[in-house]
Amino acid sequence: MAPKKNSAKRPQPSTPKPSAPARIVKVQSSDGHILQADVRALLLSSTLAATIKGYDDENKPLEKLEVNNVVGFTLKLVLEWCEKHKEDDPAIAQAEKDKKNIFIPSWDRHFLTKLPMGNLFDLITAAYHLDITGLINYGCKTVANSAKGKSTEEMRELFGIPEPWEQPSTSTATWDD
Amino acid sequence: MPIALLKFPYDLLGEVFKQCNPLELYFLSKCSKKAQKTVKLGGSMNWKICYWGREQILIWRDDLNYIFDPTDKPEDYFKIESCESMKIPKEGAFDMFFYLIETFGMLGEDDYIFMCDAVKVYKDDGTEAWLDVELGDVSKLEFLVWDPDRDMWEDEELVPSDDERYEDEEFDDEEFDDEETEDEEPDEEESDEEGFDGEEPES
Repeated sequence: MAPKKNSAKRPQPSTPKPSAPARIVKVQSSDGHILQADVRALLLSSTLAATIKGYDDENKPLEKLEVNNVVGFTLKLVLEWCEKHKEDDPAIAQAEKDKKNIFIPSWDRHFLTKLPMGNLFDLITAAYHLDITGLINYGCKTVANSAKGKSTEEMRELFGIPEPWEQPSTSTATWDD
Repeated sequence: MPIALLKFPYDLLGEVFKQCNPLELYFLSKCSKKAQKTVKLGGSMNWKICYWGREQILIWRDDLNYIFDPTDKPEDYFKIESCESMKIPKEGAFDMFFYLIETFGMLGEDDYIFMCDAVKVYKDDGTEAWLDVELGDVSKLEFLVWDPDRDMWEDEELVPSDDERYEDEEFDDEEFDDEETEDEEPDEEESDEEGFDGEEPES
């Protein structure tokens, strides 16, 4: 006799909760690139959230948001991060901000560490201008992690610090030996 | 391509520095004068710092301790022993203490700085004492007469004075005279070998 197939319904993979249809708006970078983004993702930026709220309060149609201090390539990265985190509770990022040791989830770790340092700098700076707390937290933690175990010479190279240190005291006399 | 850390806005630098430990920030501060100033401007770290009389510099926050550990071995200078401990030149420990205070901007009213150092002094009557200086919540200057029970370090050996050493011992005078003629004081191992540790010398 063939084994009886389990006819009970297996648990289905969790599906996203039904939510309001995505409201897509255009976002224009400082160098004229136009990208599209879900408003929920944009609300992670306090700066953009205030602008969106302004439009909504006045019942104006929001067709295009202009981000004047972020170039297209960086803005694309910002929007990619925001899209991934659009379901996040902003309070969590705010609470993490005060932590001494921030944990970076694997997706974010991969996303941030794959970037060349120059792009990471632009991304963190953009997150700062757009006031995206979660991205600032993870970005700064990534920069701090990159300094771990580095000597002064290696840090100079990593952070592009050209000026050599003048060695004035006994405590540093052997530093470059 | 490097990341131009020093071009970050100060708010962001503060966020980065908050995730660094004192050893990492010390290395960063040594990159350049601008880097040192930047570390200071990154904002208060809420660390506590303590200098224990030439023994070590301790920085801590909550349950995290970081040690700047003086050493005489030049080959070990600035070596990181673990994530929390680094060797520093013994001669420069005092300068290092003030360098760290300045670099980490730890001179605010709410910052905790504790310093304990002692220098050996002699009174006119010959009393040997230590002048103990503490800079903490309440600064104080204390004249401490040496008390071996209280003041000895664990691995430190007490070399007694001649009077103390031979006070209750019975020795053969001739054998003892040999020791007295030498300027060097015998150390404890030598004392053991020569029967000073309660053993009756052969007559």
